Amino acid sequence: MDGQLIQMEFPVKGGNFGGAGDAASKIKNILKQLGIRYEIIKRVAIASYEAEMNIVAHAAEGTIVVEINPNAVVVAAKDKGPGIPDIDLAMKEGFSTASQQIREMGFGAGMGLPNIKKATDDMTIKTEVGVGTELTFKIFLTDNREETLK
Amino acid sequence: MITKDILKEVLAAEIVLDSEEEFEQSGKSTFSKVCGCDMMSDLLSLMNDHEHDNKAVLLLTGLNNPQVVRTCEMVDIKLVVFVRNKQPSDETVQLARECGVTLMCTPYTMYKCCGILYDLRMKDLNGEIKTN
Ligand SMILES: Nc1ncnc2c1ncn2[C@@H]1O[C@H](COP(=O)(O)OP(=O)(O)O)[C@@H](O)[C@H]1O
Ligand SMILES: [Mg+2]
Repeated sequence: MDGQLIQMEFPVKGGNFGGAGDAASKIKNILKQLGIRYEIIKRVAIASYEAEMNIVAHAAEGTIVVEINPNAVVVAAKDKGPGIPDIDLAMKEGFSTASQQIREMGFGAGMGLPNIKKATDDMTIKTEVGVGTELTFKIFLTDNREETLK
Repeated sequence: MITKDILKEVLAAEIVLDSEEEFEQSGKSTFSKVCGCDMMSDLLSLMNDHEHDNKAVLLLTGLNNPQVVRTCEMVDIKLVVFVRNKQPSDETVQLARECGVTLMCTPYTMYKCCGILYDLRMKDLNGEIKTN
């Protein structure tokens, strides 16, 4: 896949608990088919799944766009929803506004965003209260991460 | 080497879905690590740090919804043991079939299961093991 760019888009419905994880599952399978290294796939899967859960749990609707370029897997999870009033607070481990329903599914421990940060090489959040949120993260495919970061 | 059949025996468990059998390699998988967990974000966090063979990890959980299987799919865990006889829904079983995850139910509590498996010298995700 030298020099090639692959882009895919997956819709995610807010409140659709039954389908939660469908997008992350598809993303994982595609990376596997592309022969991407297992460690990378695991990190993309973890971060994509948490990002998808956040749209399901906190927003009305959204999309997850995945781009695979020769250097990195870049994922953008964009939603229409309430937005995040205080990003620093949302990033704190344990902070959560998730409903009881989400907690019963094993999520809503306030660890999603910290997990995404930990699993990825770069993460940014753009958000507007009352409009929506765009979370983007990147995982480098190359071993020399520091080199690429420069 | 701890196999599914040994686990079934020591945990007095019932196999709800044998996904290994479906892939015609029943009994070949062995397990050496255990994660006892009800919070899926916790499991994802632990597995993110875990750098060894994920297929050797089994999950003990009191949660029985499809999200448990989804989470296992993400991190390649192939065996889930539901404690206190929590029965997985049809939807959960169906997803497990698709993902190649084996499901078991044990009447024992989480605490008792952990004790039994610790005694068998199974490790936690950090590789810690019973020493005496
Ligand atoms: N896409 C989103 N839209 C609105 N709020 C969000 C979104 N993602 C996260 N948040 C807010 O940030 C908090 C922390 O998110 P996270 O760390 O994933 O924990 P959890 O989802 O378990 O609550 C959420 O409880 C919610 O208040
Ligand atoms: Mg979350």
